[in-house]
Amino acid sequence: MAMAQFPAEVADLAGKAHFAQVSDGPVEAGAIRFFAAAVEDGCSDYWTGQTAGLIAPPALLSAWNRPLMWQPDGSEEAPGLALHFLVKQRLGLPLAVVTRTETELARPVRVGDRVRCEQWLVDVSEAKNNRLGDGRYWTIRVEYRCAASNALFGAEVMGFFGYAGGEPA
Amino acid sequence: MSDFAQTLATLSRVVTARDIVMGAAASRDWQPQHHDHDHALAMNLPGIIMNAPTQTGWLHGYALQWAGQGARIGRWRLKMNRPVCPGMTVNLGGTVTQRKPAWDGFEWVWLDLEMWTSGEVCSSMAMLLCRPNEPNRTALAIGDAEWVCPALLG
Repeated sequence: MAMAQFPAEVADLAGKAHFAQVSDGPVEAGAIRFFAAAVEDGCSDYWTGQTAGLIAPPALLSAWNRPLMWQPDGSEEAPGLALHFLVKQRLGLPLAVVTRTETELARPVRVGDRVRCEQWLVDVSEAKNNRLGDGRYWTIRVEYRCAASNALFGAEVMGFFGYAGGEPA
Repeated sequence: MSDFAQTLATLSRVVTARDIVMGAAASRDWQPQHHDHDHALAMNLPGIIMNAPTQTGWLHGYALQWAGQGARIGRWRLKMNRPVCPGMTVNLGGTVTQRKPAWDGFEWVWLDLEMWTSGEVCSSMAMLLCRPNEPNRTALAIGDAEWVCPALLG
């Protein structure tokens, strides 16, 4: 299989795991119910009040490792997908949107679990133009594991388009 | 295998700003394009946009409602082609593309799902789920060591 080509600005990021991080708290039932309300998911498991062993919605797999946006000690906001933000910075592309995700689930994430994740840069495209502007596509793979046992919860491949902004061509 | 519809009934939803902001907050996504209209416009977007976990939650809920009690999602692939913004009426639809026996009493079901508006597809999702063929069983009881999912189609 041919190796992906990376722009010089991010070539040193390829081929290794980055930003190992553990969720800032355990998976908890209130957050699950809040999400279920947000997406109007009536699955009875989320609404019975029984929280022991409750399984989180698969759509929340990536959420547990996005840190809170404020800390009482005044420390800076930490972005959830740090490798993505580093790629944006290195490439000088301050804006970005997610274009695709692909997720595989190995085992359920349950209330009380803490989630550990690591991120890999998979590929970066040549310069591209679309209706958002001039930029590049890139792909990041994230693996989510149980912080206690290291068992794999699942993996997510995320595609992004980063761009500079201004008037699109 | 049980006999069930190959086409999912279409569901229409009007997207509100609350849907987008609450979905982003509930998935701990603080990126401004999901709550700040002016910022979204500066990104050449038509307005605040629904994030990937919220779209995933909508499509998962839609598919699981159809699949019934005891179904379990194994894989999915979400492609977002155009932004989902407040004020849009979106339709959720889907078809079964393949079914195969899984463990005794369960089957794998491959689905193609779409979210579209005015004839244009906003997002599409290929999904694999496992569902029981018998009442009072749940695919969530399948052990971690046994749970090995086949690939998505396409």
